[in-house]
Amino acid sequence: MYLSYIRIVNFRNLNDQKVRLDEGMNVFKGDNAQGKTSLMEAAACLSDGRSFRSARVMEMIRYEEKEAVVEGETVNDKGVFLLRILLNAKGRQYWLNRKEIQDLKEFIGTVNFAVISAEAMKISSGDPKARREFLDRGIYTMNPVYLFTLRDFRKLLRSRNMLLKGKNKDTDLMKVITDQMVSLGSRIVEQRVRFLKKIRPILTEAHKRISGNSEEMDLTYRSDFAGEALNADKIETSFHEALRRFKETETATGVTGAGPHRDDLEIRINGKDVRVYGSRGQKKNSVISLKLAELQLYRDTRGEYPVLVMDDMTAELDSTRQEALLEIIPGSVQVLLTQTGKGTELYGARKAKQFTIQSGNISEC
Amino acid sequence: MTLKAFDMLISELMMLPGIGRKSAQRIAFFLLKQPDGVLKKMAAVLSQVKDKIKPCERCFNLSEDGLCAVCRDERRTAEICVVQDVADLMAIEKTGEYSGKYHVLNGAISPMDGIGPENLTIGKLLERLDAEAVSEVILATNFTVEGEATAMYISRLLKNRRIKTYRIAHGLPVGGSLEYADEATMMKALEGKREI
Repeated sequence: MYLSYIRIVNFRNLNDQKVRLDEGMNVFKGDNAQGKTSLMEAAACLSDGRSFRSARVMEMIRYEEKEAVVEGETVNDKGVFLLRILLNAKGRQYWLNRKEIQDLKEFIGTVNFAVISAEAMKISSGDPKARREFLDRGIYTMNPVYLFTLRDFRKLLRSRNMLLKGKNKDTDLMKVITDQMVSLGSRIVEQRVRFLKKIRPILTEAHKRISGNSEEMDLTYRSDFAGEALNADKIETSFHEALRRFKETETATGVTGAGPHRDDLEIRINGKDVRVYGSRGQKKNSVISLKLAELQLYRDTRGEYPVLVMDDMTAELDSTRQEALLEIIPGSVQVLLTQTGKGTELYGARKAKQFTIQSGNISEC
Repeated sequence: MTLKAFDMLISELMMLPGIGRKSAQRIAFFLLKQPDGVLKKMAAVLSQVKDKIKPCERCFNLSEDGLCAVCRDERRTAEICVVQDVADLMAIEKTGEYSGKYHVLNGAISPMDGIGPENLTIGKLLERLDAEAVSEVILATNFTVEGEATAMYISRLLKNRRIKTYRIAHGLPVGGSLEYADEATMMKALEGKREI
């Protein structure tokens, strides 16, 4: 799949910009704070209306404006689709081929992105939230229903925490909410473990190429209650047991003690946890391997590659690494890449469509 | 140009669900074009609606005096169908296939939003089960997290009352084709399979 054009109105520091994109390589050059990341953020938000900088809707709207619009045309296996997202104080509205979409499930997946950015680098170095998001996004872009499982689980978690903190101890209500939360939470864990099982062999392979065959990379799901057991019933039983173990702390703190919202993903290179023992280079490389694996798994599952966004690669990768990466990326992947200054002129021996960004204005070179 | 009365009308109309400024303006223009009598009549209807229509004392359906039409209807059978809102009751009534009575909860349990069982008419439902000869309870709350929680909660309360309790079925829509069903619906439909 690829984006043939993108139009942006009042998105961050971009006022009204329309860009025709090449099916292959697109390079956006400009100094810092000219709008490169905003453009990437706007493009990637066409998948589900969300920002990869995990920003709130209002932060994505240009200063002193009321609403922002991102529009794009995507060509995928199923045809040509016109996507439009309106952002305002009320939230997000979606249109697909000029028809407003109420059910987000019908919108997600029309176009999809794998994003390598400063934020993505947090997967290997930041807190567990970034790693859970990597898993969850990977799952719901392929299976949008999962988004609703996540949303419902969060609701139940908040409800349960309210009950834990509340004075009124309705044990029936607590039981009902806990059962529901455990049932949905177990489905989340099951999906994550299943996703890991699929991505691990692809990842190990991808990382061999990135590291020149010198490193073995692998992943493990870390949870207070779920091992690699796949069976949802088993997960439910041990989830219930874990909650019983945490009962005292839960009553004291008023916070649900175990569940997918506390789980983590351990990333290992040659058997060692990258977050703790990895060098800076290994941390960066592991994220790139994860993203390449995400790209490949998406292709294996959905039959086509998502669009690859590489934001500010000059800051994240030296030119040798960047070239090596571009060599590995399959030729049929559309790439949107931003760079400060001159940087390399070689993009994996590919011809690139080049743009410059200055004060929010995008022009083709 | 300021038209105070016109602007006031628009802002009142914008209170209505699904009506934004543009629609409100269109409706306002439409109303202005109507003969005087039409507007007077509409105003009269509006002004008395709150006084005339009250919740049914028994089931919380809409009613014009004490008991609603369903509760007063003696041909109604001894089941109680529990729904979240009057709109749900009306949807079931429209089918003409259900001949029992109703109980409107006025919402669903959502501790997150501060809505507990005590904020709904669940207590009143239990009173009815004591007072009336009820053959079975059908829980027809929505298939959302809140609706499910409500159904599960009520069914727990009814467990030791030896009253038959049902949850309405869910699955694929009639006339729907399998390929368009989402995964969650499909899963539920498979779970609820039956022998033929």
